[in-house]
Amino acid sequence: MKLKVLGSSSKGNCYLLQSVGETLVIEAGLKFQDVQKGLNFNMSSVTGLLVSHAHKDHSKYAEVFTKHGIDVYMSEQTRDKIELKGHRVHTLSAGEEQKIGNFTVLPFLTEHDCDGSMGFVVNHPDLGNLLFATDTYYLRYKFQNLNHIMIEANYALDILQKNIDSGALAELVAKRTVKSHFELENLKEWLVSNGLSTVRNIVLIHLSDGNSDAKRFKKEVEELTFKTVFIADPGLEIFLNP
Amino acid sequence: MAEIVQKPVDMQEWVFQKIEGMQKDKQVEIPQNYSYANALKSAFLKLAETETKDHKPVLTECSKVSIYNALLDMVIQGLNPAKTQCYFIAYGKQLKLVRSYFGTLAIAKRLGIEANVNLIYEGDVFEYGYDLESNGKIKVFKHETNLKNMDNSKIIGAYAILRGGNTDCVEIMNISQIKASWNMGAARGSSEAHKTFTDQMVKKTVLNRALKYYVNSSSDENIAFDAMARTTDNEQFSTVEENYSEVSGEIEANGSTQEVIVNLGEKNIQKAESKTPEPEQKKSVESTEPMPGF
Repeated sequence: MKLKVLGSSSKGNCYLLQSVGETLVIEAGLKFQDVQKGLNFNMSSVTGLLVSHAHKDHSKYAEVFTKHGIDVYMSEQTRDKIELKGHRVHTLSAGEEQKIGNFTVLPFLTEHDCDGSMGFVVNHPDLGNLLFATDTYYLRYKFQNLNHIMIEANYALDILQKNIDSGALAELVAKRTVKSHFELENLKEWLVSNGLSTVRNIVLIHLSDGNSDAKRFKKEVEELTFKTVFIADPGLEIFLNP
Repeated sequence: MAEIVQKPVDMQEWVFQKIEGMQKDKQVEIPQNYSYANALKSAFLKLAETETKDHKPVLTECSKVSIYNALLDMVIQGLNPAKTQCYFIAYGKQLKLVRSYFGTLAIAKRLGIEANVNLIYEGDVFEYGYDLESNGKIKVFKHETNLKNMDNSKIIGAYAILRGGNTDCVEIMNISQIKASWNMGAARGSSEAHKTFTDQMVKKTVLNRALKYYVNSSSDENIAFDAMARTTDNEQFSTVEENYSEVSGEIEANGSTQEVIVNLGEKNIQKAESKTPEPEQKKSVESTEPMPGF
């Protein structure tokens, strides 16, 4: 299974999980043309789209997918918030598995300032179990049997504080960040509490533009976990095997 | 005065001596198990990095008297800024102490008060009235709730019950009273915290109100009350630090508490072909073999 990152920030999120003849798209925050390019215009391979929550950088172009005949999946609240209708729109319930082609998706609730925010465990014979969690300031759950983790590492508290002090960041914005996004130390704690014996790859996603430091985040998580750690820069392509 | 302001270390010593003197003369009572020396030290560290709206250090901008009063308020209430029990905020030339939710709880605990706050949701069975047979105070006779009623948009009120510390009282507020109280705050009740954590913000408001009545109607047996009353109305101000420490508390309580054993797709796996995907990638990285885990 190939993971291709098209976008992973508040400017727009989109990830492709590509296997032979089938692709699962996660998030619809990038223009459809960009997704088409990322897919080498091989649209017929797309088996579905997962949307984590209603914020625009994740959901803005979901409607275009439905118009192109692609089945889209999201929580009921997300669907209602972005007012998406049509027979291509399917709702997910936390804890209930959903088959999408050969993919099986287990949705769970995440902690964000947007009702109905979800994360997913994605399974495919060609992938194993992949955890996807973005825009969540912590996780209530820990997961056994994961092979790969794609998780938000949005900011580091010290960088955030520095930016407030220097005036680069409005305190009001920072207050929201703290209660809606994953902080590095909190993430590290979660990784430890989750246990990583079956995990091989960790992909850090949704790094804040100003409040993060990709090199440092990668290094700190590597030193903590001894796993292969990637930063989800647009254009990143890696293979995730079962 | 100017000389002292320019040298915060001198001021620290001055405040320290002043409080020590007051304590000896029995002018103030410092709470037990509270090291005011430690609290003052961390307060000065905080003050050194606290800025006014215009990003000027408060130690040079705010009046010496207001700094002294803010520190005194802190010490008398037995608050510790390192535990985010209080904050210093500059309003023009005036430095004020703002007590956080944790500070309020800490004080209640110290006064031996057991505080309990419950939310009332639409659909709850809630009966209350005056206890005319004994003391005429408000009493909650019955409160039955249901998980299904739990909805932040359907909070119709909340009540706090204080017990211990010579008190036994109930404070009830309906949602419009609570919102009116929020309207007095800088964010006018529309901050992200109010919108997202309505339940917690409601609890905070009711608890503060309940303690305020307790404090304001008490005798002067505890001098901490004066200082407490001065800082009670500041609950609306939250800071990044306060939010972060609230988040930390939430993580400690709820983080990784539920275990999910993932066994997906094992029932109906269609044997995957082991061909590699289309060779269009340019900068692919092959993932490595597993390394020893924890």
